[in-house]
Amino acid sequence: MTLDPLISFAAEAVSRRFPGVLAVKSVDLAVRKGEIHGLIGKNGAGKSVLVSMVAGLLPPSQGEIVTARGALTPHQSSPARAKGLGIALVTQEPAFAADLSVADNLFMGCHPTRSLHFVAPGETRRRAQALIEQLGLRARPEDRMGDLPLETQQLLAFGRAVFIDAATTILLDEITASLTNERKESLLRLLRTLIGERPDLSFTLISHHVSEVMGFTDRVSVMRDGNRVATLDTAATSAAELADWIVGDVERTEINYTTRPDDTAVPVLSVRGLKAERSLAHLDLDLRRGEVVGFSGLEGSGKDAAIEALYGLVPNHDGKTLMDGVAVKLDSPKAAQRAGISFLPKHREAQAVIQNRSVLDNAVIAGLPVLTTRLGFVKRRECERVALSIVTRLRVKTPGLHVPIDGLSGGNKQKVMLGRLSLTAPRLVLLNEPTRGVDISAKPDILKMIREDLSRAAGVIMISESEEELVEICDRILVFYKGRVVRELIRGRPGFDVETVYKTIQGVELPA
Amino acid sequence: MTKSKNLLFLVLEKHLIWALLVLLFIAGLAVPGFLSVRNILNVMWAAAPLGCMVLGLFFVVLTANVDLSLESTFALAPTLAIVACFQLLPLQDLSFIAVIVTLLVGAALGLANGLFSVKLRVSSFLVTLGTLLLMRGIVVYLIPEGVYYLPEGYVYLGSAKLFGILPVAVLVWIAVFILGWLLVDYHRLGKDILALGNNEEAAFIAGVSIDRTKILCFVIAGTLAALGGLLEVGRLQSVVADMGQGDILMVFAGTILGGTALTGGKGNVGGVFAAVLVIAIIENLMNLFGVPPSIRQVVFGAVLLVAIYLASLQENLRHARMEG
Repeated sequence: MTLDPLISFAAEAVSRRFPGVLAVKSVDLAVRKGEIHGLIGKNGAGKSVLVSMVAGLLPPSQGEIVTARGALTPHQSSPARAKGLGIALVTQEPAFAADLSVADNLFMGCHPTRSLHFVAPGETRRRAQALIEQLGLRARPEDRMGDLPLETQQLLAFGRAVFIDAATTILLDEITASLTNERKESLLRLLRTLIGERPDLSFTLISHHVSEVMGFTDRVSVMRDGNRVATLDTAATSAAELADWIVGDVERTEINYTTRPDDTAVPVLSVRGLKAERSLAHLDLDLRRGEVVGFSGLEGSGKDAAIEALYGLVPNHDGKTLMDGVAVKLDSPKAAQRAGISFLPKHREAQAVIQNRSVLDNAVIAGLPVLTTRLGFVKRRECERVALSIVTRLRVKTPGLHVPIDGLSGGNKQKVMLGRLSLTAPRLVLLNEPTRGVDISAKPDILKMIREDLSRAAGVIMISESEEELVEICDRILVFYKGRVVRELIRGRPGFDVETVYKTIQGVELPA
Repeated sequence: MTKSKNLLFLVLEKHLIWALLVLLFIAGLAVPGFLSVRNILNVMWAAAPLGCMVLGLFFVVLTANVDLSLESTFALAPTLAIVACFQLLPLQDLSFIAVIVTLLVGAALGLANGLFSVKLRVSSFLVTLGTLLLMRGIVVYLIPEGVYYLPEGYVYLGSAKLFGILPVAVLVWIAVFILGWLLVDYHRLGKDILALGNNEEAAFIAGVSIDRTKILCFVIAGTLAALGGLLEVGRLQSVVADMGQGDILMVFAGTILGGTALTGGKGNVGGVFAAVLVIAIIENLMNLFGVPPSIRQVVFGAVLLVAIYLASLQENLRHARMEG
């Protein structure tokens, strides 16, 4: 097989299957030499899986990734092989050794050496310094990597890929997300200069920001549901058209629900002028019992800061919070719990699941204050009853209550995590991406439970990266953009749909 | 003003252990008999065998592994060399061969530990716990009564004094530390060790040979423990079955006190060198003070706790400066 000499790399009928899901479905994609190619799509559209396969981190289930120097196939694929083909992936969180110096990180595994493999510190330093200057960074070769801002680390990882590994196919995974506009511009200029100097380079920019892709790329490919649905010339398209390609035709499934928030009662939560350093500038909110409010926005738009501040995870925040009309001070998770707030963290495995413990232990841990006798002994029967009720009500697929939770699927673990939230009879439930890492089949159960169980006696605030989900179960959606709520969408009124939410999140169609 | 402040921070952050050493030294000035060339050299002479083991463990800990068996290697390597070269073979006149055999045995024991732990993916704690017992058992079996008459050539490194005052052992100790420092700071190997200890995934992707580097560290540790044993045998002019037994705790104390992180990837040779001196001086001061043997361990434990706490401040200081 011969490859067109103008092509940097080509995915040929590449598929990737995970248990129960086909994440990437026979995708063809060709990125040319000398171009900046955008790869855009929503979370779960398959773009990061595709990129992982190109970088050799995941072998494809079928198909292959072809470059002029060779191919990555289902049987031959590894990071080392990808590196050998000239492919480099620069991720949002670069794999660096935090305690080592910038120079040692840049030259990890390939230090310039003299006789007997003694390294050449002068040369290492000089080349590191040159690289730092070329990128216009504020860092010294001897600085400890972990002390530098993430942004600088990302750019250094980029520099290592281009100048030290001398890769020709460079994949940039969301690295522009955290850069300031000025930095973005200078990075873009650098990409153009580099392509001018070395026309065999190609850059693939993975992003879910429409505006960035519009501003940065020559061509853009859109992924949706594991398919590549379009490849467009950036100059010949518009942000709105691109957004339409990304969202696609949405099937609207209105679910029926009867709990209607009582507009006359005192709000369970009132927030005035909530402010959390850097990312959240201002938030006013009234939340009533029975209401589900969605927070939507890009990474860093303030939605996470808002929910974390309400659970006391952001120690220094300003603003007034009242619960049922009484002022409360939410300065620690303990205080938040005492005020009747339950919280589902975003990173389930790291922040919620207790590994190696049984389903039962995981189910009752939040409820232990009410499941123990006065002397602190655990009421075993009561615990079993409670755990059993969670398992049956939420249809958790588990061989039993006493098996380790680790064997359960993501969706079933998440059901247990959600089930335990209501044990303490909270007034306010905060959910940060309740369907993250949950398989498709468990999602409806989880959404139904949020809508029907959790919101029965409490107000619910939920963050989701899926606009469909928010539109499906929320009464209201607050869209955050750059630290403020720019739009409030209300069920039943115009604009309460996926397209509007998506475009507002992206800042494409902001109200005047 | 800020410049001197920065210097102070540099000393306290990176070299707190040296500050501690100076402090102990000043405390020592008040003790008669401490500050004499002879006493200081004797302190270093006694510390040299421990120092070699500490440097060995340092390499292993940098890769986020441990080697508990070093104290048994310390005894087994010289024992095997002595039994093989002087009891089975008549090489009394060629004792340099026995010296080389000692080091080779150490390297081989380290290699065995490394292969077992790294290639078979067994926790190095458990593997070396096993070999700790096994190797001590072999020593006890081979020389239950000890060996008291050793050829001049074999004990030279541990016992000889240049110009009648400077123990060769101290020079050997300093030489291996300089070599260790060069390896860690200026050699490809050191860069690879620190990289994989810090972030194994990143090192793997960057093309560092993970397994080989880890095993090599076990080999280095075994060799250094054997060297330490050689120096100790020379210093005592004999080898006994319980030589070094229980020392591994002190070896760990030295390594950690020197600022080496048990999680791997962090530490510097200068720090562990100073830490060995700190331990040796504490012991020496207790001798000079005449602390009764019955409570010596209590005092030593308490002083060590304080020292370890002070050394741990290093990290906090760094954070404080980063935030301030």
